[in-house]
Amino acid sequence: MLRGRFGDTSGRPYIEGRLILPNLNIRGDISFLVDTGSDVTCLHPIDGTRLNIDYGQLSGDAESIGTSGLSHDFTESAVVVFSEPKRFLYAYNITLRIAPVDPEIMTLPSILGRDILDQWRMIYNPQKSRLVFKVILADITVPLS
Amino acid sequence: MNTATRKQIILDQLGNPADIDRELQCFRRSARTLSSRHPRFIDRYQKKWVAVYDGKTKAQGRTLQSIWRQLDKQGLPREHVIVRYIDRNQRTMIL
Repeated sequence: MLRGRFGDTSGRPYIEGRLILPNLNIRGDISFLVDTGSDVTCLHPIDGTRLNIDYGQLSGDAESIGTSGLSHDFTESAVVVFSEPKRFLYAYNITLRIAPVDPEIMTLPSILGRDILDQWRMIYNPQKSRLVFKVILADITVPLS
Repeated sequence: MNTATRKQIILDQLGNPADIDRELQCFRRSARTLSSRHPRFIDRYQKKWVAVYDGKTKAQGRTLQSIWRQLDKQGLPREHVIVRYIDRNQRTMIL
C-alpha cells in the first residue's frame, strides 16, 4: 500500500513521489496533488523552477483544457517512482506535461493524473485522514528487501 | 522496443532503490511536518514562501527567488526540499 496525506488547512489529497527526467538529467521529489479529474500528470512551475529545469530546452506543445481555458504545455519523457517503505518501489514511464512558468500559477502544486492513478485502487477517507493506494499495475516493481 | 528492454531502461534510470526509498521517506516527513505545523506557520509566515528540508524550516521569504537563493547559499539539495506559499486565505482551487 502507498500512503498519501491530506493537507491540514486545504484538505487537499497529496502523495509524494520521485520524478526522473532522463533527457534533462534531472531528478527530484514532488508532493503531487492527487487529481482524478486530470487525464495526465503535470509538473507545475513551483516544482519545475525548484528542480532548475531549463525551460528553454523543453519541446512539445500539448494542448489541454481546464476551467481557466486552453493551455499549452511542454512534454517530456519521465519516470515517476513511489515507495512503499522498506517493501517496494513502483515506477511508471510516462509522458509528463510541464506547464510553462506563469506568475499566475506559481502556487499550484504539481498534479498526479489518471495516467498513473488508473493503475491503482484508492481509499479516500478524509474524515479518518486515510488516503491509501493499492498498486494494481506498475511498469516496474522493485523489491527493497 | 520490447517490454524487457523498456524495463531495463527504467531500471537503469532509477539509481539505487534503497536510496530512493530513504530519501522519499525523508521528503514525506518534511511534507507532513509542513502540514502538521500549518496553523503555526500561518501566524509566523503569513503570505510568505516557506521551504522545509528534513523536517525543518530552512528558508522563508516574500518571493520564490529569495527562497532559491537561500537554499543555494546553504548548499541544500533543492530536489529534496518542499516549498509552499503560506496564506490564511487560501484560494479555492478548481482544476
